[in-house]
Amino acid sequence: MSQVLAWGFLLVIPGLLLGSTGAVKRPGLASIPGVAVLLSISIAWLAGAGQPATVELDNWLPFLPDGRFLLRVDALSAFMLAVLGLVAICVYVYSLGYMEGDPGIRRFFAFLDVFVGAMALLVVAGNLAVLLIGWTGVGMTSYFLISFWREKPRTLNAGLQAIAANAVGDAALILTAVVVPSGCGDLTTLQTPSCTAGIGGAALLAALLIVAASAKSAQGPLYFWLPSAMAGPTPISALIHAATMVAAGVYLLARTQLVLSLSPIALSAVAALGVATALFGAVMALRQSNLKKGLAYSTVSQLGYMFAAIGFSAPFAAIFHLGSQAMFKALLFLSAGAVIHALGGKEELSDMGDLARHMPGVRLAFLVGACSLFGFPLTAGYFSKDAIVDAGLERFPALAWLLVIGVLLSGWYIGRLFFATFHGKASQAAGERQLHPISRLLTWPLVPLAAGSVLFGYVNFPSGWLARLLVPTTSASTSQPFITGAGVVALALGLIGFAGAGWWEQRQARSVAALPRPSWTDWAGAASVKLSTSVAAIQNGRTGRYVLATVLGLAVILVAGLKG
Amino acid sequence: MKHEPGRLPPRRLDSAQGPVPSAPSRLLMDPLLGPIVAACVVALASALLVVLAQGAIRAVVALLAHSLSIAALYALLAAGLVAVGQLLIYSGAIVVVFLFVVALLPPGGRELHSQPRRVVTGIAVGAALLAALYTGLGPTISAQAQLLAGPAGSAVPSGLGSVAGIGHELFDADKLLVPFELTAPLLLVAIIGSVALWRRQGTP
Amino acid sequence: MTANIVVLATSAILFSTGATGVMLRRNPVAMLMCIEIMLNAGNLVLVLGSRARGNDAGQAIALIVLVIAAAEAVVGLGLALVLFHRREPVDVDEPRAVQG
Repeated sequence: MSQVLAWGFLLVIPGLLLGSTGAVKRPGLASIPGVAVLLSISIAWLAGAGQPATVELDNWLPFLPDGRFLLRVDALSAFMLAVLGLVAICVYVYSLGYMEGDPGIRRFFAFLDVFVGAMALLVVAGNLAVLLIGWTGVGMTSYFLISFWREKPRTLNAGLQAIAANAVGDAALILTAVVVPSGCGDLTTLQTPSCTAGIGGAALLAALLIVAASAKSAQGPLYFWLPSAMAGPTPISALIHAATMVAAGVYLLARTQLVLSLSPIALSAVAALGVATALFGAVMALRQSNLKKGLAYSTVSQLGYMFAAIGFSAPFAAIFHLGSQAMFKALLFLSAGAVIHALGGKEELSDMGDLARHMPGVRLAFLVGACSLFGFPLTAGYFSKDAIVDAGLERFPALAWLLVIGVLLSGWYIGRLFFATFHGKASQAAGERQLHPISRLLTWPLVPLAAGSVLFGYVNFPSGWLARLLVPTTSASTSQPFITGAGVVALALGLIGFAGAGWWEQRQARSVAALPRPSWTDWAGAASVKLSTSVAAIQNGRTGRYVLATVLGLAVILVAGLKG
Repeated sequence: MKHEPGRLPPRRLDSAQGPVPSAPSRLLMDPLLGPIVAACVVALASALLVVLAQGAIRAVVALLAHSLSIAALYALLAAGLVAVGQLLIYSGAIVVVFLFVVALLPPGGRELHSQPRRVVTGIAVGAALLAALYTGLGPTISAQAQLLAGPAGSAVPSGLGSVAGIGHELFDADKLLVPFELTAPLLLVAIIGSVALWRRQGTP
Repeated sequence: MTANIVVLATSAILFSTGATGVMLRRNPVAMLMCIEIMLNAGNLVLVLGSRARGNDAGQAIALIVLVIAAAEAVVGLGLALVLFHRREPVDVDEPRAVQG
């Protein structure tokens, strides 16, 4: 069974072939069985049927320090596969309805299949060489899917931003795979003394891994691509840019936690980065006038919580929150997608308002997701966010209290999005607003995700089952307290934020207009435009110049590089 | 680099330590020096013609001569299989494709003359490249001088360039199997790419 | 001065000649021909090294380079044909929009 799970990324191939060759009438339908098999095997594995196992092909990429083709299935991989499978099935079913009638639907599902396969490979990768394949694979499909509607303005630009940020991360990961001493590369043994003996030691390895992970997970200065990525279709935002791919950075750091713990500076840096990003994302989410962008900044903020957990040496809390975030954020995005679909593609909050009467089911789903997000008691987010804050109080109390304050912001921004969409006053054009009917394919996937958003916490409470399962790979305390002081404060702040947002929305006729931009952003924008135009002057499109530069460069390499 | 003992040429250093033949006599000892020099001269002259020829047809014919002379050089250097490959792939296929393209070109699309500045820069940079090759690679080459000192034409190690030997190189998983297999998708992509280029061009 | 040195020098000169040609010519087909000359020069060194070391690896790599040259010629000529059919006369230095 473990062997099947290791090769599980191949399960998308039948659907990919059938869908892209046109053998089936509805592309996407053929892909669902493969993902369902993946999901059921990984759940069966977690339920106790499986044993950790590895698959190894020797000397596959001989130019790398560790060129084996190594797949490893353990509890962490199986857990990630289960999350991937569950969200992916919901998104497949949802996309059948959402993308219906789109001329590029075959292309869409082909990219989706490739993404699921690459992500499944990423989480079972046993060493850096295999990880790189999945890592670049998901980045590439993310680009293709962001730019999926090519004729829409700005989609290509958004895709290029994603590629640019991902390129930074890929470069860092490639460097990691190259600087380790010969024979190293297995993700579970990177922290051994022989593997940290390379150039720069453990600190360099940790720094490279952090850069790679923050590019994937949109942390710190590399956050910029994720809000732009909302130009893609909404199911993609749910699957790739909220639930799975952006969590890959957190997954990588949880996997290599022991390397980070060799370098105290790296740990503090990750914690500070995570907390800063969590607060920044929350503040930015408050300022958005676009529903999907608001949710995107919320994702940035939640990923910041997970990074903070990594920095608090609590990888279990990070993975736990990763799971619950996958549930409630996918739910939020898919319900937002249903709203956008009903409005015929309008995403601005100013086009919404007063939709509760028309789509009560979607409103309920969004509310469940929102409650889970700010940590309403007994929902998934309550347990996982508490786990992070608890871990933080032990190591960096000041940062942990900042995170608690972040919960207030979370409640505020998600409440603002909720009330502005479903309550409040309808826009002026609401009179002639024609709501498209929503197909059942768009509403049924919300049910399992809503159930997950509420119930996911109970995989660890009160039994500590998930923690025990993940302990071999992550160090965690197995007990999950129900009530803590910080948890009560966080809950109170979250409720205040949520209710405050509702009160504000009712009172303020339309508060959604974006706040004025500070002038320094304009200044920075102008400066970067000037810089890039001057750099762009080198790219003048004259082939002769390019050839000349190439030959000159070759001559310089010959003289300078080979002489020594 | 692993040396297979069966296939190594006999070390020439030993014979060189005996009665050392003077340089002119060694020159005489190499029976293939004359043909090799001739082929080199043809290759250089035809390459120069390719660069300087004004008409496209002339350049293609010069390229054909160049390719044939290179094939002859391969054969003289005990690389029979590569020589045949050069004949089939280069002279047979690539040059003919060039000829086709030149024939397909719309009439009147004459090449613009290069401006004098461009000519001067091009030649200067080309000469700089040659100098860089000499300075960059010269020390490495003189460090391996004993490898190059032997007469090229005589005393070919038995089995060098045989189909079996090259096959072992290409299909051994520890040697060149991966690059060799990668050429297959490369060719496929090239074919699909050129077809796609042409189709897109047909429907602007 | 042995035959090996002659071949080595020839290949260096051929490489520089090809590079000069790529820089001089403005016709894409002619540029491709010059690139073929450069490839041939590289191959010549591979075959020579194989001969000098008594090792088949160089010849095997030379065969792979031949295949790559074929792929390069196919795509390059396809591009050249498209260029020629768009506009004439053709000048590779004409800056043009390259966005797709």
